[in-house]
Amino acid sequence: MLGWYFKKLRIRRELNSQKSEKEGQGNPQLQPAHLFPSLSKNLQLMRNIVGTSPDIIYRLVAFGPDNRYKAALIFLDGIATNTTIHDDIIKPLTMGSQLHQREEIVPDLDYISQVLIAVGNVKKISRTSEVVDSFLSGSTILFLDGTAEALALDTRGWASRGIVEPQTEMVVRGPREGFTETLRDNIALLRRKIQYPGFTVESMVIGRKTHTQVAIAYIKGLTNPELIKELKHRLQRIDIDAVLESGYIEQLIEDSPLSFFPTVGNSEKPDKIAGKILEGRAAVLIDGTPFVLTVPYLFIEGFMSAEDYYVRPFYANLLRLLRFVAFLVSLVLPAAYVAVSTFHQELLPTNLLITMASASAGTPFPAVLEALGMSLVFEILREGSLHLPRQVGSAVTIVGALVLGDAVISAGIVGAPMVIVIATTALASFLVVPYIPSTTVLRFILIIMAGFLGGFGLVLGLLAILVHLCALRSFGVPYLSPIAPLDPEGMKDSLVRLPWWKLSRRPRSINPLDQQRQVAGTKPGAPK
Amino acid sequence: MGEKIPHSVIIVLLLLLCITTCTGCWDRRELKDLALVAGVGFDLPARGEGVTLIAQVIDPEMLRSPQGPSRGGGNSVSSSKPYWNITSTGETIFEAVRNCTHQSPFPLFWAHCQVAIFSEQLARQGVKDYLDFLLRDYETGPYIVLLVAEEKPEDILNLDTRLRKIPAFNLEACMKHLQNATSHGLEVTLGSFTKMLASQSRAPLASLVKAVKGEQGLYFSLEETAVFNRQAQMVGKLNREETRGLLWVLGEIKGGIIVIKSPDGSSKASMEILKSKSKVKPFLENGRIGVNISVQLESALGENWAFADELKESGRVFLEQQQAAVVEKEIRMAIEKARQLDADIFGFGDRFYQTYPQQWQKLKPDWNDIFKSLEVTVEVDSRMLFSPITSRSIRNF
Repeated sequence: MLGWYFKKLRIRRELNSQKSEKEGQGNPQLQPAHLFPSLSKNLQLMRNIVGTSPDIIYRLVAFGPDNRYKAALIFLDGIATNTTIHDDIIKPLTMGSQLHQREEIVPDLDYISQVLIAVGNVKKISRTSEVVDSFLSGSTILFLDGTAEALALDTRGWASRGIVEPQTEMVVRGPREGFTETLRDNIALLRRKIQYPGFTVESMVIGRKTHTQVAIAYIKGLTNPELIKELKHRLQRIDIDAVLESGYIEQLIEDSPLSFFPTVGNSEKPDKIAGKILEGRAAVLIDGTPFVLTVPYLFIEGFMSAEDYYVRPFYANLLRLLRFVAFLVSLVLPAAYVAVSTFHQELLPTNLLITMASASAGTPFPAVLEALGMSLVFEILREGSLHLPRQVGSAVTIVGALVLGDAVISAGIVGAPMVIVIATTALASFLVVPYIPSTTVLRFILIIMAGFLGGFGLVLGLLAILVHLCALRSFGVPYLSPIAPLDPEGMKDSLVRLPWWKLSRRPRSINPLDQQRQVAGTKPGAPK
Repeated sequence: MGEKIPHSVIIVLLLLLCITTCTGCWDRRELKDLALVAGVGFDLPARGEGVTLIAQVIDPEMLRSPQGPSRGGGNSVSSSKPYWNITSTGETIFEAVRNCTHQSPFPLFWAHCQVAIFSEQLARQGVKDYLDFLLRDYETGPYIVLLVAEEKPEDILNLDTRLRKIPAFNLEACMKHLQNATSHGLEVTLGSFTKMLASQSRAPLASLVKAVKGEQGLYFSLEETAVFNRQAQMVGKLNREETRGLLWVLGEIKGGIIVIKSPDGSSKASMEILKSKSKVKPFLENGRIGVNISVQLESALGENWAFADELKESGRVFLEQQQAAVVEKEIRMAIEKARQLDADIFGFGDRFYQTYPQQWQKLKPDWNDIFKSLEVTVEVDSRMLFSPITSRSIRNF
């Protein structure tokens, strides 16, 4: 039966690949591959390709003695900076100092770019596709009559959000800057952190229609080249029409797309990303989103916060252990409550049992339904308050938490212990943000298993999760490392973080080329 | 679409769903649909054969705080008791237990049953069959505290209690700290009772509870101990001194007060027992047979009505000697009572079995007679610890 399925699958896969090839052929570039030597032909070419939208500005410029030379600028209004075009391109061209007096000078593109205009990043291009790409990315294209080439002048500069503290990862101590939607700014933020010649950024374009800039950042001589090779391979395999957020890329390069657990990390904080790069990971920056991806991503990373490394270790470790406990609580507590209160009443201390019994006496629904219902109500509240404006959000909290919670107990529809359990679970889940989606889904599954099979079902579910976690890999690195397989060096920064002077080597599970982080024996102390 | 979904996974998931839903819930009991049994009393029926059983079932709704919402209840409800005693009868114990469900809307849940009370009348007939049921049933555990009630267990389970509102739990809590505070009683659980019965010679024990009439109504007292014979039939009682004498020998003293009188009897002092150890050594030589009991006792002066100068060596020696005398007296009383009752409550026979396993086989058949004529030496090593906090008694100011 299974064999039949696989056969059918294979046939369907082949059909699909043929189809996509045809689509690729059915969309050929009808335009000529290179520019014409004539200005009017080139302008006509551009009109054919990009059209005449109101934001596309065609600007003809005549310059030189008797205005004998003709040129044209094409740029996108709003994406190219107007002042740069006015002051640094048109003004020098039309009022060019020597050009008007000295007739022997014939301005070609080299002369224009080297002498006349005052723009930093200038590229000479001749292929039509290059012209179109640079134009769409915000460059100003300068065509000169009689030349089959054009200048791409980097005049990119558009309205963008400033660098603010990321809302998703607030810290008490640590840098407050966060990535923005602009790739250039994001790379600059990283470059500011890692001023090392080996820090490398490689760029590529993904998205047939969006032409999204995607950059890979890593450190040469530290990051394992195999990792970069694999990452590039996976990125190059992507052939999609649009990339609007790093989530697109994440879902197209992850190891186990069907798993509940993420195998690609993301963060909005440059310091966090820099830290990961310095451990030998690679970062993927995508234009248009402040969320930067890192690979490989290990299970343990979800429990680490940037602040763990900034505050002193005893407190950082307390918080980290707290996060482990909170993760377990948010995953297991409602299911465990259901299992104990419907199957294993003898497990509870007598006093607790009686308190629970007296608080839930007379409620109409079985515990498993109560748990599922209240979890559902919580998810509704969370989702509701998350996307609303802050003013309305507080109203949701009041109605949901206070009115509904109180009324549901006083009406005797749900027992108070269940509300306490669900509330505790909800609070605990906020401590480990990266796994909120995983725990939310798994919690429902575990509640159902516990409702049907009790503690046996709960343990069955937990074992299945554990086995799954053990089998997961992220870019070749076992998901549960450094715990399984055990890496003594990595263990120094996993369940607990040892003080910095103890962390002289980088975690081995990431396979960095250079394992030495600092000189050993730097434990500080009073002078002897 | 669909090309990435492994169909094998879907099939496995479907099978798993079948497994969980098809078997599901057969053992499910909602907490609110259980009648929690706090304690149980066993009695002989008024007429005829069989078993009468009183199960104390907790009424959780009545346990709610008065501020809390109570459903369907006016003031009349709040005054009623948070428990409900179900009386049922049956030919066997199990039948009586099941017959409870004629009256209870929910199945009885026994895992949290804390005490089992036998009437004295029943205890004198023997409790072996009851032990069998309580040990065999999977919901009851060996931690159940066994008690013997002088009157009807029902009276004990109906006594008004404060602080802990369920009488059965109240009893159990009192039992727990009785041994620590006064050592006038002994917490005997189903497990330890059975262990005594299964040993070579020990006579099982259980605390005796009786309802005492006080000025403000009935209250219970836990000062005596019921003694059983090897057939688990109750044969007699130890009073509080004898009980403590027994505990000295067993090394089970965990605390308590020893009162010492001045030589002229006009003044008193209290010694608080801090620590006590005991050693029981049997000897069997040249036809002499007996046991040496040595008790180590450390105590501190807790109260002094001004007769012993505790700062002086003589005063300390006096207190220590008096204390040792009290302990020895209590032990002697216990031995005397045990001989009267023909019950080896100290487990001397087990000591012989452990030290002289071969000879024990010969001793065992006549153990009752040997126990009566056993040579017993008692040695008390009594020490007073700490220097006193105030040097003089207030009376001497």
